[in-house]
Amino acid sequence: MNNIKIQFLIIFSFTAFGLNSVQAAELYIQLPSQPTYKNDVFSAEIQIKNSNEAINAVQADLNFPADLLEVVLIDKVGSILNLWPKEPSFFNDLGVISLSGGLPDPGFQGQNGLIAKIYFKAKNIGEAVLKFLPDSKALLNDGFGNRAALSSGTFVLQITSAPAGIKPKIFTLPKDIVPPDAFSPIISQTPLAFDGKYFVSFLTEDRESGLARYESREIADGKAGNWKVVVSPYVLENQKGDILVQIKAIDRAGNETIGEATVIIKPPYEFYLIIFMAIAALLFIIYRLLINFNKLWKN
Amino acid sequence: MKLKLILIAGFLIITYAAQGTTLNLVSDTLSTSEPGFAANHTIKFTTITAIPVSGTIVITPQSGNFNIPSGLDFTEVDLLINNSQKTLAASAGSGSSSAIGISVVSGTSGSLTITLNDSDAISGGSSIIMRIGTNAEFGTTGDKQITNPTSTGSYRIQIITKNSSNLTLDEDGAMAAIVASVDVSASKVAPTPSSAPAPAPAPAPSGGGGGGEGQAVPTPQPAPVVSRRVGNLNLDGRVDFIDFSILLFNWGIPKNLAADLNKDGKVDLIDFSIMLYWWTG
Repeated sequence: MNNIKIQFLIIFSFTAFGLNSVQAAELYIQLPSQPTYKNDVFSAEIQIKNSNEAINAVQADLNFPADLLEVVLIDKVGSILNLWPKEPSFFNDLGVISLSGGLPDPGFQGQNGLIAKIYFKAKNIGEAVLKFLPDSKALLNDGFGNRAALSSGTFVLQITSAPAGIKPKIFTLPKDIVPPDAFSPIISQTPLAFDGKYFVSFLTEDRESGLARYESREIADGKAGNWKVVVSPYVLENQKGDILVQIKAIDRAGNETIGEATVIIKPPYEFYLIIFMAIAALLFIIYRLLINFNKLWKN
Repeated sequence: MKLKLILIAGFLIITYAAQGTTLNLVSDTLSTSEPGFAANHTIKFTTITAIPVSGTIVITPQSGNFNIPSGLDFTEVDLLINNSQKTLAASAGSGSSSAIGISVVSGTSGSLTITLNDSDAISGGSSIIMRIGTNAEFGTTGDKQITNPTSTGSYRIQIITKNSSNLTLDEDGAMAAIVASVDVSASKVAPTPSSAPAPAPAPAPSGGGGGGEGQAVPTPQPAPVVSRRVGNLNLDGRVDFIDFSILLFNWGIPKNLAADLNKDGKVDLIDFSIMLYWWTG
């Protein structure tokens, strides 16, 4: 094999996570089929395959060689998962990526489900071994959170020197002129969370370049605040008055969609009672002063 | 008119006779009183009339309220007769000391029927203890539980003993109090705003009483020691990936009302937000 040619091998030395069976679903990394050269940016798809039972939550933690690879971006576009208790994270120093997400009932059942796409930069020449950590798991959509039988392998990518005249592949955003999907934030209040304060929840998707961030501003009693980067859920800064909350979903290409919600938060009954009592006390003091003044005047 | 009265009186006497006598010391202790939560049941009673071989004990939670999940079977039941643990199976065995059968009708009009084998009877005055749910740890540990009614109130768990001809021997019921608890734990660990109100211990719902009148009166029992955070749906003390999976299973119109954290009738993004607030990982 020529040394400037990629050696692309996937070794199916399966490791079992949780229960293991012949029909176990498989955590899989789809590596590029094209040669990978030093300084290339390439994508690796994290997939769940052959899930014969419906699953609704996947935790995929994987390890990569920090001396050979560097995560540039984690892309959730096209993922079967749409709710993420923790945003996907990576640690280039440690060579660890963590993905934890789920999808509502009826879950996912099928041959090939995309979890996320990881964009790596090939930093050095060598054999990059990627593998899932033992904490990885998929949970059944069974109402009990039982683990699905799951297996995984070790995935190997050869990074070689680029032939003369070949420029490294760079990451380019897909052409995207479509803004994120329309959405409606929800303002809620419950004694169960956020110390009973009003909070806002929101969720949308961008099917082209992917969501970059959310920003929010509150317009309370006609006074507009500044846009701030937020994540769902967050506690409203203004906890009284007539409040308009605007959430701006911005995709990686800069397209925006704004969702709005309003709430009128009145002070509690006790507040009015205290005001009333204060006014009553003030009137009483004025009355007493007037009587005393009248007496003094007569004297 | 006279004939009518005689007929009515006769009917009442027959009905009373058919109902048999009442059981003694009937109680049902639930592991949690929360509406819509899955709970373990510990049912205790003492027989008055002997239950002959191939006789049955039928446990019927109040129809339309409790939900017996599909798949709940003899592995979710422990049966102790006079403190002796009995071997259970899907159907009654043959011969002395053979298995006692447990058949289950699942759903909101469900019931559990315990069928004695063809050799061993239960004598009158015997103490019976049944554990139903994940508290059934003899042999295979149970992994399913009966779901509580979704509304607060008192609900009857009927217990009937019958002979092999299906004639009632004894009958009674325990009342289970379903109480909405406010026991959110103050032991929040997430680095988010300060903690929620301190918990008020949930009273352990229990049925009790029994006796001559056949009237079962709720009896206060010690509160179950359950570490609970909002969103801790599997009651393991943590709000984590498993609870997330249970929440997702119940997305939309909840199958298990416990997943509807803010009790607004649906499981949605708000419940997910509340779960994230309590997330322990």
